[in-house]
Amino acid sequence: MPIVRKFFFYLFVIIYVVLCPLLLLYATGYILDTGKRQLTQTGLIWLSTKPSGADVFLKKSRYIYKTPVGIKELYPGNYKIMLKLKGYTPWTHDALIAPGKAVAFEKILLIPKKWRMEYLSDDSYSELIPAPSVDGIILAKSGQLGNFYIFTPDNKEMRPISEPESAYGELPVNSILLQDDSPSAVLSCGYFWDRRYLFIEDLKAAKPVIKDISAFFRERPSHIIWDVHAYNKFFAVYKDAVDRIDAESRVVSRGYLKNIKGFGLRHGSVYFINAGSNLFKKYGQKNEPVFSNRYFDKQFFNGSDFYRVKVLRDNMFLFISDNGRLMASQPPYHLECSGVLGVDFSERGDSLLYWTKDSANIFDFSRSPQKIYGSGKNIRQCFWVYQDSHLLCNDNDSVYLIEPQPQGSSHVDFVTGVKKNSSVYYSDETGFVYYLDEQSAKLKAIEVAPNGI
Amino acid sequence: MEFNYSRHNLSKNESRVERFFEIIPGALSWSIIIGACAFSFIKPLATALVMIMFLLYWVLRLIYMNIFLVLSYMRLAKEKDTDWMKRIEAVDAVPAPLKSKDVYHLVIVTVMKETKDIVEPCLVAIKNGTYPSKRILAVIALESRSEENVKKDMAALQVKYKNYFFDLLIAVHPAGLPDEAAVKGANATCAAKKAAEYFQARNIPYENVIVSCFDADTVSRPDYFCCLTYYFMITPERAKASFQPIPVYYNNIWEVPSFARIIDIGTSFFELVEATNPSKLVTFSSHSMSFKALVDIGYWPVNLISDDSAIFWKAFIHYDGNYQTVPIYTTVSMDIAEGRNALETFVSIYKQKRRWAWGVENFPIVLRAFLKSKSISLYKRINFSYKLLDSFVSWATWSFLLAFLSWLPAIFAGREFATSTVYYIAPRIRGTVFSLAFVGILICMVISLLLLPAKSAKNRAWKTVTHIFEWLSIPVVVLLLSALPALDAQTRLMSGRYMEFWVTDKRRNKGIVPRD
Repeated sequence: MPIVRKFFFYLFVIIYVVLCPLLLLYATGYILDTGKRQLTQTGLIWLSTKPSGADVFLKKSRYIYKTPVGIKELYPGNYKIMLKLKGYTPWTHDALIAPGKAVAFEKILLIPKKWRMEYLSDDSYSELIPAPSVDGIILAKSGQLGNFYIFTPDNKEMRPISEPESAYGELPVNSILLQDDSPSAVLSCGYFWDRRYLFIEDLKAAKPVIKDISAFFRERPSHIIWDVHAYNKFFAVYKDAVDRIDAESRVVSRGYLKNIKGFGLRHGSVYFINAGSNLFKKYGQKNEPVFSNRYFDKQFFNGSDFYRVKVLRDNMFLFISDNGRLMASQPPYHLECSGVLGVDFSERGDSLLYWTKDSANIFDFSRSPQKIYGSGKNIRQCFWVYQDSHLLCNDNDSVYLIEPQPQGSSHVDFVTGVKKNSSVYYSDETGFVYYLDEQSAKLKAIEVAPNGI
Repeated sequence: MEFNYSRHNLSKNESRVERFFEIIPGALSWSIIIGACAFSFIKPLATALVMIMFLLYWVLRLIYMNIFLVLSYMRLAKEKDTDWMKRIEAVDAVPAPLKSKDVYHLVIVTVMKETKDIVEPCLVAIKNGTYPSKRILAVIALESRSEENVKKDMAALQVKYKNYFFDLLIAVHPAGLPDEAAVKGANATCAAKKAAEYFQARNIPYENVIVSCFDADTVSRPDYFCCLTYYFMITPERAKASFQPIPVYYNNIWEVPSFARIIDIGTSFFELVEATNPSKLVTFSSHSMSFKALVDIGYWPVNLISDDSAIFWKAFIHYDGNYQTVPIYTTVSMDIAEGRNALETFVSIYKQKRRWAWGVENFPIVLRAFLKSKSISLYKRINFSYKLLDSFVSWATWSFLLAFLSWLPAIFAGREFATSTVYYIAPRIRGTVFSLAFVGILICMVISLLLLPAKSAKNRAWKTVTHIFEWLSIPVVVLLLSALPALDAQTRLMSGRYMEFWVTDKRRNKGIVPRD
């Protein structure tokens, strides 16, 4: 037995000594180029589509496997990739393969030749307001509250927010304030001489309860923010001061915060930027600095702009001014000087999507923001789509599906036209984009990210 | 070489060296685990490549071990039907310095809290064996601090079985002797000293005596003492040798939860593999050795927990590296540690495995001896030092590397690593390696089915089927009941929190009938 053992020991040592470098070379993309009689480092392309099973063509030659597939041992250079699947538009892209590198197209959404469409209403609507925190859509037939409805895509239910014959039914609605993670809404209603603020605690309730909270506001606030974690607690932002409103006990703390440059809430905690441009977190009567402006230059919060403080996670903040200046608490700090219309943070991808009138950008906190869509005419909205790998843009009354690419420019596919100046809503749960038809103004939906394929 | 095989009573300098070596296994294991985590984050690409190297090394070693598991099992199966008495007679027939009639056996059964139902099957198995029990001196090594019912049980067993043996003695080990810890080795040493006096009084030379130190629950196979006698007779330097049977855990194997069964079958498999490498075989659990060697080296260490392996190293150092462990292809069966429920069994096994892993306490002592020794060859010193360190560190780290750490580079992948070919090819390599490892598990499944004792007629088919599926739990079981206790033990040694002896719970739901 000892001899057998010795034999196998040395045999396995030889196997390891031979196999290990080969395996490392294989992993790093090296192959033996028989023509040149030398080792050449190759690259790899990874392709994964939804739906899967697309034929893969590389430089016009059809590849034997179907997606999802990793194509190894590709010599460095440019490759024209084409994916074909019956019923879908061919997907093409040019990829530059570098030695030892992989180019991954991990979430390719194949575009159907004919979009799957659903008709969701017989009635026409004048306005569509997305309510992502309740995964629903607020629809209006006219400007009066009695003609506002909430539509929930998961069960396709349409319910009135307030009966037309109710006390508030005839009030004209000026704007609807919604807040992340909150099922509630504050409606700014009435006329300029009789401004009313109505609070709806739960938009998804069978019969939403509406409370008039107008009496708590001393003048017209620039922002109304409420505490998701505390019942009936509001913050009214006026120029450079904040009132704290306890609607339950009917106590208004006037000048709760004064001389501030910014304000935000997260998980019941109050954040504010003081006149010295320092960010604080408020604990009862105590103010604790989150970080001082030594992280930023002195001009960080310059001017008279007021900033909304958005807490993405601990020690990761966004600051958005009223004129659309966007800054982050991490380098490069200054993301956009002005014109930012909206932001959407993807926790899954740890990336920030923000858009201006003419561009949609992604900032992943590790490098400068990337312009994903730069040919916008009048971008109103953007959404993350398909596990945050794609974008959906409502630009100039048209909806586009945008696929950012690891290399080269993004793929932009037209999805549909929508009613002039109307919004759309995308639900990642259903994979549909909901919109008002550009002709009939009826509610329709198109499936852009098919589920269950 | 004269050497103080202990971590006590050392000079200041020796204490420092000892402490340094105590830190090494734990520090190395933790460095590997923490280093793999840290480098997965800092240098994921390089770490992924190192992981590929490790996976290849691991799977080759697994295949290598499987080959010897199969060969060793075949040898065990073949030797099962050997008529050892015939072989002994054949040796007796040729001129040899030692005849079987001159060989005596000393069996020390260590008892602390085990009652009659645990110890009796051990004595019955020796009595009923094919070797004449009248040539066996059995000594029940009893602790003075054992409970009264245990003492009464042992006295009753002495009366019942005395006449079947050369003699059956009870050696009561007094508690609290100077320089002693509450460990099994101290109890066995006390019994061995009493036996030495016994042999001396009857002019039986120690050279002719083989001592077997059994746990109270050890049930030897009927041919054990014949097989042992044969190997003792044919081993040229028998006075400088230990004899290691294959330990199996059959006594209660079908009564314990599946995780307990799997982990202890794994232990048997490990010993089967180790048996194929006699040049590096270290004694484990119940085993036998030359009584002369035992007396020469000053008996078992009286303040170390891991007496089974410590006795080998003590002899190895004493005889300047000229000491060997001879594998013998017969089995001794023991109990799997068991509690009143699955959780208690889990805790009990965890503590038992941690005690086994506490064998790492030998590492600093052996290395201190190797540093001091001029007479043990450098090759042997390096070879055994590496084996010791490698076995303990791999015991504590491999499961963690395989279960968690090999995945980390991909989890922590930054942009640079995520755009490399390695990021996409490494999972394929890992998949292939794990598929090959599964073949190894299949081999283990088959051998365990062949090796395990017959199940009760009731639910036999069901037990066989469930046993096959039990093997799928091996990654988790090994992680929780092997790697984790080993890391625990090494961490304790590293931080100087020395372990106390903990007596494994042994309980029997059914009586054990020694089987052949």
